[in-house]
This record gives sequence, structure tokens and C-alpha cells, in this order.
Amino acid sequence: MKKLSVDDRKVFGLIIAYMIVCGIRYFEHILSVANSCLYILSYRHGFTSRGLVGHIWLWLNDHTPFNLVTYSSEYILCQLLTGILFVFFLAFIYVSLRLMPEDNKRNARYLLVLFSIFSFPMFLTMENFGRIDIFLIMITIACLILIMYEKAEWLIIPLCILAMLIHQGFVFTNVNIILVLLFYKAIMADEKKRKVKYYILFGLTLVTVSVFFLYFEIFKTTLGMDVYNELVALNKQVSPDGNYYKELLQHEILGNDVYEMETKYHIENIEELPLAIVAFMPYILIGISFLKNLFKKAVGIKEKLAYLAVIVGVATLIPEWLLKVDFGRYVYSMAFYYIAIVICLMILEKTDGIVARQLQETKEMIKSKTIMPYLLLVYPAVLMPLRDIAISQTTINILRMLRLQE
Amino acid sequence: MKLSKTDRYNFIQLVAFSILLFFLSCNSYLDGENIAIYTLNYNHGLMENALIGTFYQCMVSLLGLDLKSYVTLQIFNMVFNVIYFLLLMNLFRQVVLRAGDLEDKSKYLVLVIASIVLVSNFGLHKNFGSVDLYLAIITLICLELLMKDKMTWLVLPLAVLAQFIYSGYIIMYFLVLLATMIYLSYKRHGKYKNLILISCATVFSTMIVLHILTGMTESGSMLLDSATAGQAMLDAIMNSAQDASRLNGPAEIRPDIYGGIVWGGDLWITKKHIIEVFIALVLFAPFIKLAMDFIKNLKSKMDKEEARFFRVFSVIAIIMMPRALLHSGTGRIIFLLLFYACVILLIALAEGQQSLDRTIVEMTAYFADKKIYGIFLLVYMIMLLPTWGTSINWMTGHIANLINTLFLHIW
Repeated sequence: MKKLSVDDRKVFGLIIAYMIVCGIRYFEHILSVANSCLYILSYRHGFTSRGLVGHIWLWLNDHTPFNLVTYSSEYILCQLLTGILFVFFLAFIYVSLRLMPEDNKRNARYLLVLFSIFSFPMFLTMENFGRIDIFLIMITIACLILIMYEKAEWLIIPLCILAMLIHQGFVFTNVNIILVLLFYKAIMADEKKRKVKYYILFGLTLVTVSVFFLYFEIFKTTLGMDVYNELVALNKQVSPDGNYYKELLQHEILGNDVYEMETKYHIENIEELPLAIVAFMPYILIGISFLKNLFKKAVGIKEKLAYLAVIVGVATLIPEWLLKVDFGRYVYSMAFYYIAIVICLMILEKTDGIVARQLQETKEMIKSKTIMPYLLLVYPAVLMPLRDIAISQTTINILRMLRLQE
Repeated sequence: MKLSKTDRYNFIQLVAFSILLFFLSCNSYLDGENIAIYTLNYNHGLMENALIGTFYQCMVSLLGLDLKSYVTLQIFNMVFNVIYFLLLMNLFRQVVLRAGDLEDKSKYLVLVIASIVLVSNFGLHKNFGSVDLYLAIITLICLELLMKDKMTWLVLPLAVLAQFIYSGYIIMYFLVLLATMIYLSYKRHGKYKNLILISCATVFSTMIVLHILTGMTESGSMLLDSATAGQAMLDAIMNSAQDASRLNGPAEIRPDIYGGIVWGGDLWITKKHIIEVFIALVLFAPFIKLAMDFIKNLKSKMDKEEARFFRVFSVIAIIMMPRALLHSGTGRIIFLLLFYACVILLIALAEGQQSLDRTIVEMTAYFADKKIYGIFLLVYMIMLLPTWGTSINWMTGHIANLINTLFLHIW
């Protein structure tokens, strides 16, 4: 297997250095009430959603000499998990550099820098440190690596099942990129055997995640007030300030709709979103131009369908945008989707693919429009880290200034 | 002089980037420490550091606003931050207009770096409301007058005003102004020699007079009355803050606000500053190396006269440094040094300093070669800045606390 070139090693080294600096700069050293709650949900009272991680954690608590149901134990666990997540990010970057055709390397490196700028700060903030999304992203990256290497791709199905057991939101936030890539491979395959393989993989993955989602959202039973009170007490035990995560426990244990409870967050979202759109406008415009021209380059029905799927794959986030409040997470999911999928496609297309060509053209377009093209890669740093309900601290600060009040 | 269409387009991008940079740090919160200066006034006698408080209280009273309102203070500071921002953008605009011989790529790279260094400092809650904002504003106004060579006599009263604002002005932002006057005097064949001498004498005399008057105030009960009234106002403002938990704990009016430099202060603070300086040397190492290469490259291109001025500027920078170890705050002085370096650099660019132009073009070519390294350096700069008031920044403060917890146990 080929090693990384000298230039690739330098880029990889810089990304590792950036990762370390992010750890010092952005880590807020708090495991929030909300995220601490996610490790106490389990299957003890029934097959509930988001119960897998908590079930394993509580099992370890019962079967090891350590008292794990404390804030400090969960905090240490989350530090370890964040470290492992960073290893996964680095693995994705490493594999991308290794498998990337030489002609595409230069532009791929810029995309990987952008990927790093978005990803490393995200899970260090109070809102996202220890969040269950960590597992979903690790699983997604594992699936992407399998797809890029084209080895043991059957593992995608059990990995997706695992992800659904961890958080049913996987169906909206992360599975899209896996499904789109499998669909792409299926539709673009020349050999019938390969085509059938990928259609089966695509179909089984889609059906599996859908079944689990429907079960957890529609068919699961509520667990009653006794279980609710028990978990409230447990959450208070592991939280940093003795509080508990009311919205999650009400939704997961009592089956209550929390839309109205989250009204103030919806209002915050509506206030912040226009500012965030303005702030991210350069990327929105460049993204639209890139995708539009990519679709135009597609020749024949197969290619058009494949790239249409690439363009609209992110639409699985629409229900989240409309019904939920974690806009910061969804912005990250969108950025992750588009950056990762372009990188994966550049690898899958091998040489002279249309994605690589379009990326080069987009780069030339950007360079023709500004003498500071590097600003497009520096600029996201001004909007980082992305939060959860709040999209970015920068836009929140603008909002605060606009709403100066007693 | 107007910007060309291309320059306007590029300049708008720079301004948009700068606005977001400002809001990266600015959450509009005022720290208790920075509120104190607004509670001082001349009601109990003419004394140091009371001009801003007097001005604020007069303005607020004239406008019929609530003097003890936290929000009023926030808005007052936001207005002056906007003024600072506009003056900076104006300085950048002067560079774009006047550094015509320098290629655009290099020009805007320098402006992007200057923007990262200068724009966000006074938005950070540790510096929001800091008296240094007004000193920086006055300095930028003076620079504008000197660069345009119009109404330069205004530099004198403005410098005196700044000395009234803060007693430390003479060894802080006045030195920036002084270095600029020396440089521009050299460029314009000795035009500002008299202005330099008179302003030095006037500012120095103002410092002495105010110090004596404050000392006379100290000898009576007027200082105690002033401090008591100030503390009462401070407490009222703190109580009115909507989210008091964000404020920096109970605030008191520090002795050095009343003039006089507090040497050492609490010794553990000085020790912490020294440790942070060493940490900062490591964290800022890539930029220190870059700066050293830049200076070496620049010196190789300078003639004898330019080299002599370079030595003068270096001496001025060294004069600013010791204050970094005092109670006043290391981060504050590091920003001052960065402000000084940026301002001198930008003015030299605007004046068409050939040796500087050539050096910057070479540095731009160096980064064009190492694109990703350059991008990460700029991102890293955004993460390191702005500096804080007392601690250098979040990273040095945090690492210093970690070292102290694990090994030193000093604080």
C-alpha cells in the first residue's frame, strides 16, 4: 500500500497540530446536564431509544469495582470518547490522502483543511462535549472508510443498526451520506454483479434504519412515572449542578411531545438563522454554484440520477430543521455531508472524474473573484465552534448586541 | 481620493471579515473591573483617570438616561467600539489608496493580518469598556491627521486629553504616536520636529500636574469620598446587570485607577504573568520566528537612515515592555506592542517605504508556496487573539493554571 507523500505528511502534521491547539483553545471542561443524561438511559425498563450506550455504561458500573454513575466518571469517559473521535477524524483524513488520486490531491487537501476547521472544535464545547453524536460520527466515518476501500462493506448494515440503537436521529443526520454513496456506486457500476451488490446494500441499509426509526418513534411504549422519577434522580446524580434534562426524559420515557417546551429555543433559532445565513453566504453561494455545475456536467440518466442524489441527499435534515432546535448540529451535519461526500467521490471516481473537474473549476472561479481566496478557508475559523441550539457564538454575539436590554 | 472598483470589492470583503472577527469575541458583556473607571469623576477634585467617567456621567445625564444602568454602559462602549472599528477601517483604506506600488495580493494579506490582530481586542469582555479603547481611538485620530498632514496641531490637545483619560498613557499609546511622528518627520524632511518636542513636554507636564493634584486629593478625605461614591455607583451598575453571573465577581475600584503605578501588586499575579510569558513564547513561536525572519529580511534591505529609525522604534518597543509584568496586565501590553507594530507597518506601507514593500512581496511569495501552512497560521492567529487584560489569553491562562495545579501551587 502506498505511503503518504512528503507534502501529504506535512498537511497531516499541520492538521494534528491544529487538533491539539483546538483541544487547548475550545475545550470548555464541562459535561452538560443534557449530555450527562444520555449515559443513564438504558434497556433496564424496556427497549427504549438511545439506550445502548447508557446500558453498556450501567452494565460496566454493575460489573466493575468502579462507581461509574458519577459526574467525574462520565466526564473522564467523555474525554476518552472525544479523543477516540479525533482519532476517527484523523483516520478519515489519512485514508482520504492515501487513496486520493494524485491529480486531485491539491484540492483535496484544501477540503480536508476545511473539514478539520469545522470538525475539531465542534465537540469540545459545553453543549457538544460527550454528546451521543460522537458515536454516530465515528460510525459514519467507519462506513465511509469501508466504502472508500471497498472492503467488508457488508459491515455497513450492522454499523447502521448500532448507530440507530445509539440515537435514532442517525436516520436524519448521518445516514444520508452512506446511502448516497451506496446509491452512487450501485447506479454507476458497470458490472451487473457489482450493481446488484450495491443495490442490496443500499436497500438493506435504508430499510434497516427506517424500521428502527419507526419503532422508536411510533411503536415504542412509554415507561411510566416510576421509571421517569428513577431516571430524574439518576440524572441529578451525574449532572454537574444537580439538575436533570427534562425535555429528553419527558420525550423518551413518558412519550411527551416536547415541541411546546422548546418554544423559546425555536424563537432563538428563528432570530439567529437569518444572521447565520448571511454569515455563511459565501459558502452557500459557492456550494450552489458547485452543485449546479456538477449536475450540468453529468451525462446520461445514470450520472444525472447519481449526482442528483448527491445534491439532495442532505434533504434528510429537513425534518430536523423544521421540528427540532439543534441548528448548530445541523449546520455541522450539512458541512460534514458535503465536504466528506466530495472527498469520497473524488476517490471513487478515480482520475478525471467530474467532481474533481468541477472542484477545480470552482477553485478557479473563486480565485478570479477575489485576491484573497485563502480567506475562504480562514473565514470559517471566525464562526467556530458551532454550538447546538445556537449555530455559532459569533452570530449569537451579534444577536446579543441587537437585543441589548435590561 | 476614492477606491477603484476592484479595490472597493476587495475592501468590502475585508470589512465583512473584520465585522465577523469583532463579533467572534464581542458578547457585549462588561467585566466588573472595566466598569470601575466609569464611576470616577471630578466631583471631588481634579485627579487622574477620571475624565472618561466624568464624560460618561455628563453624557448620560444630558441624554436623560439611567446612570446606574448596565445596559447604558454597554451601549456607550459599543458606540466607541464602532468608532474604533471605523477608524481602523479608515487606516486600512489609507493603506489601500496610498500603497499603490505594492501589489494587491501583498497589500491585502497585510491588511487581513492587521485586521486579525487589531479588530477584536476591545470587543472581548475582558477588554470591553477598557480605558485603552479611548487611548487607541485618540491615537488613531492623531495618526489620521498626521498621515493627511492636516490640522496636525490637534495632536497636542488630543494627546493631553489622552493623558487625562489614563495616567499610564505616556508610556503606552503616546509612544505609538511618538514613533509615528518620528517616522513621518523623517519622511517629510523634519516637518514635525517641533510638534514632537512640544507634545512630549506637554504630555509629560500634564502627567506631573495631574499626579501632584491627585496626591493633594489623597491627603484629604476627598479620595475616600470619591472611592465611596464610586463604589456605590459600581454596586448599583453591577446589580442592574441582567446576567450578573457573567460578570467578573465583586468589583472594586483598584488603587492604580487613582494614579500611580502599582509595582508588583499581589506577588502571585506577577509570578503568574512571568509563567504566562514563557507559555506565550511557546504558543506564539511560529509568529515570533516569522517576525524575526521578516525583520532580518527587512534590515538587509534598509539603508543607514532607515536602520537608525528601526533602532529607535525597537527602543520604544522595549520601553513599553516592563509594564507587562506589573499589575496592569500582560495581555494588555502585548496588545499594545502588536498595535504599535501594526500601526508603524501600515503607516510605512502607506508612505511607500520601498524596503518594506520588497520584504512584504517576498513574504507573500513565501506563503504562496506554503499555502496550507499559511492558512493554518492565520487560523491559529484567530485562535490566539485577542489578548486579555491580565492574563495573556485564554490558552496561556489555562495552561498556567494547569501547571500551577500540577506542580507549582503558587496560587
